[in-house]
Amino acid sequence: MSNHNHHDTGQSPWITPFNVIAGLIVLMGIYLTYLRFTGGLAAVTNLDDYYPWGIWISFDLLCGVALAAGGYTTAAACYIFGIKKYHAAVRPAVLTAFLGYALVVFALHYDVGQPWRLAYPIFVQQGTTSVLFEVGLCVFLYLTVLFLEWLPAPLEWLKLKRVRNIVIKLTLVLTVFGVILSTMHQSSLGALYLILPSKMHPLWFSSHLPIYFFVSSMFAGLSMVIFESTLSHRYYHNKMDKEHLEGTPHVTFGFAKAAAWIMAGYFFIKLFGVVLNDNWGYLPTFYGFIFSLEMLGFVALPAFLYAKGVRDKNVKLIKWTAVLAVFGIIFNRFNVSLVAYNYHLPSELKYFPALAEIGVTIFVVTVGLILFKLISTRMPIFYEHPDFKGSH
Amino acid sequence: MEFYTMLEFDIFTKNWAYIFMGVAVITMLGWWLFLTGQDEE
Repeated sequence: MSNHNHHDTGQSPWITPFNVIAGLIVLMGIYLTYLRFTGGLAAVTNLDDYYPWGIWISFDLLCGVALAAGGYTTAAACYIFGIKKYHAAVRPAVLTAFLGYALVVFALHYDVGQPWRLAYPIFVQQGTTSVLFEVGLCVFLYLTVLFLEWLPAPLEWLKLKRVRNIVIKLTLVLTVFGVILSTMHQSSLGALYLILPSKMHPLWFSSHLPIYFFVSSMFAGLSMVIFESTLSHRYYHNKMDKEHLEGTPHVTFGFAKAAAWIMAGYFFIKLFGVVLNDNWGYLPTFYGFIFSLEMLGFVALPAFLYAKGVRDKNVKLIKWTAVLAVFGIIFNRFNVSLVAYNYHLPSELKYFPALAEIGVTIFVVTVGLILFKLISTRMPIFYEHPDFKGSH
Repeated sequence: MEFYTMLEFDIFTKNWAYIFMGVAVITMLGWWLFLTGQDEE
C-alpha cells in the first residue's frame, strides 16, 4: 500500500487549471443550452433537410458508444473468460462506459426535436419495425445494466453493505446481459445506415455495416481502456492500490494483443466489402484516398504497432498506439455518418457543424470528465475498498 | 470489367472473395505467430 494514500484528508485547492477551464466550458455549455431550448435546433446547428444528423450523432452518439465498449470487453474478459488479471481494469472501464452511455442520452436531449418524448419509443409507442427502436431499447437497457454494474462502487462508498452484496451477486448475469446488449446495440448503430444505399459512398456502404460496427467497437473499447488507464495513471496514481498498479501491465499487453488480433480481422472483413461489391475502381479517387487512409493509417498501422509493442514489451508504444486507434474509430464513425453520407451533393450543400454544435459537444465531453473525476477521486474505482477486499 | 448480368457480377466477385479468404486465413495464421512470437512459455 506504499502508493496508496486515498485516505488523505488534505483539502486540494479549488483553483486549478482543470477546474478553471472546465468551469468556463460549463458556463459556455449552459449558455448554448439556453439558446438550444429557447431558439430550437436552427438557433445552434447547421442541420437541414439534407443533414438531419450532424456531429451530435457522429461524435456524441456513434463515437461515444463505440468508445464506451471497454465496459463490456473488460467485464467479459474478467468475468466470462475468467482472466482475473484484468480485474483491476473492470471498475474504471465500467465507469467510463456508464458515463459514456449516460452522456449519449444526455446529448440526445439536445439533438432530438422534442426531447421530452425521448422515452416514447419504450413506454408509449413502440415502432418495432424500426432499427431506431432497437437502438433506443438497447441504450435504455444497457444504460440500466451499466448503472447496476457500476453500483457496487457507490454502495461501498456509502457503506451500504447488504445492498452491495446483493448487487455483487448479479455481476455475472449483468456481464452476460452487457455482452448481449452491446452485440445488438453496437451492430444496430451500423444497421441504421443500411437504409441509405443510394446516399452513402459505396466504399463505406455495405450490407455488413452492422458487423463492421460491432467488430470495430471491440478494439475501440480495448484501446479506450488502455488510453483511459494512461491518463488515470498520470493524474490519479496516488489513488491506486497495489493490485491496480500490478495489474496494469497485464491489461496493457493483454488488451493490445487482443486489439491487434481483432484489428487484423476487421481489416480483412472490410476488404471483403470492397471485393464483394467490386469497389476497386473507387480506390484511386478522393473518397478512395480517405478510405485507404482509414484502413491503412488507422487500422493496419495501429494493429502492427500494437503487435510490435507486445513483442518488444514497449508500454510507451502501446499507449501512443491506443491514441491512434481511438482517433481511427472517431475517423471511421465520422466517415460513415458525414463524409460518405450524401457524398453526391455539391459542396455548397454539404454540412459543416456550427461553432455552437462543436461547443455543445465539448461541453458534453467536459461534463463526462468532471463526473469521472468526481467519482473516481471519491469512490473505490482504482482501489479495493478496505472492507470488501477480494470479495468481487 | 464489364458485367452484363447479375450472375456474372456475383461469380466474379465471389471468386475473388474466396481467393481473399484463403489469403486472409494464411495471413491471420502468420499474424498470430508474429503476435505471440515473443511470449514466454
